[in-house]
Amino acid sequence: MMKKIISMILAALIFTAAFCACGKKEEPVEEIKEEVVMEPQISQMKSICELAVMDCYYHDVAKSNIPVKKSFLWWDWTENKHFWIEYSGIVRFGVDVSLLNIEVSGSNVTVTLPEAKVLGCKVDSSSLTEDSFIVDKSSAKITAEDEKAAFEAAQPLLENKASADRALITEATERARRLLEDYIANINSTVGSNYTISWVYADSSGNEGETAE
Amino acid sequence: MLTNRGFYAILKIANPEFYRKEAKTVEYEKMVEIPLDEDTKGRKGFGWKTVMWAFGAGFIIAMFMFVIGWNSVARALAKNAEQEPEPEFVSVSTLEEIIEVSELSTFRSVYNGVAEVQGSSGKTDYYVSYNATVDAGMDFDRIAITVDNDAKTVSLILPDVKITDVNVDILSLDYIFLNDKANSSSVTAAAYKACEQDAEKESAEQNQIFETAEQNAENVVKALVEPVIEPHGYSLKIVRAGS
Repeated sequence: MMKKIISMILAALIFTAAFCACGKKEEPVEEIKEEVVMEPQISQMKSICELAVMDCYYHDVAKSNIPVKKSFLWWDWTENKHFWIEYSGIVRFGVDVSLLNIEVSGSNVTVTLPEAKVLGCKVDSSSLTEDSFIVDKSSAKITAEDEKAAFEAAQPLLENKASADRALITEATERARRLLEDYIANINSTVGSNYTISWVYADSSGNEGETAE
Repeated sequence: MLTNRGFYAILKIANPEFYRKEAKTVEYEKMVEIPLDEDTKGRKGFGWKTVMWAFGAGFIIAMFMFVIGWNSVARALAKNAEQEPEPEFVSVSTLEEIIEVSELSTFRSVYNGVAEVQGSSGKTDYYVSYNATVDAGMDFDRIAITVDNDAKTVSLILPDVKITDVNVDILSLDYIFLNDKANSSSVTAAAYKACEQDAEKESAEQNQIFETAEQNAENVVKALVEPVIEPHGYSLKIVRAGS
């Protein structure tokens, strides 16, 4: 009986060792890490420029001094219709993305950045009321036609004024430039790269001007 | 010291044939107290049946131990895997740094308005038009950022926009006098003060100034954050404080 017990234990140990030793070794599973691509993407930079648009609330006073010829019998004279109109609207400044050009060569990114321009403007029609008119006491009488003409002229007037506002155009161009610079700086700090930007400034029509780094 | 009993016990195991010949008497059997076993005839050591039986039992025991052991190891590995935190790809501190260093938190509006100046009689003396700029901004330091790594979402709560500066251009003042007596050398100072008050009051009441500034701030934050989180598969959600 003892022999059977001893032999049984020996056989069990032998088989257990055999099962453990003969098992297929599992190859260590390599961690599949998502490879994150962090290099300047042209599509991403164009999206940034689209987001760099600047909506500007524009409240303005249109001044009108319209000479009106009057006559009575043989007597001719000129009166002035002198009045102001207060109105407001929203002007959108931004860079025309279709004129933006980006080239990535190694660690250098060359950006041709057009000047910002008025991308659109809209007069707030609710801002044009009777109270919007301020009439000089010495002015000729203001008629309904005068008011209607003033309302119609408000939109192109706003666009012309905004287009001539160099401070806002410069600010909008600078805004787009800064956001693109921040994008490159963030890539550099995230992945430890050393991308640099070379700037080529163009006018709002895309004609190239000065270069800067 | 080897006794007779010990000698015959060894003899039986070592050479059962010889032992059978020698141990013919009961006397010898009693001495060694090991009964004669016909199965041991001609055998040295263990019998085949014993061996087979031992191997079969040993195999079953080994299989049983192997299965139990494998399950335990598998459960332990699974438990370890659950406890290991998944690496965080997008961190709040990184996003805070990206947003806070930005100098694009202020937005300019143009407020060219008309101020009405009344005299001591309560009637309007003159109207004065002026050119002014109004700066509205958002404190980017107060943007609240949360990252949900399970849903792969970054949420930003934007604070309110406030008017930070009103600047009237004194050279732009123009007048329509209703009271000629008000047209004097001191009119500029009074008019300028009236224009500043008018610009501050009117701009504070213009919701469009705040709305455009909020929209501009949202665009800036998107332009800063989305390029950083999108490569990791995260999406951005922006909530304004007012909503």
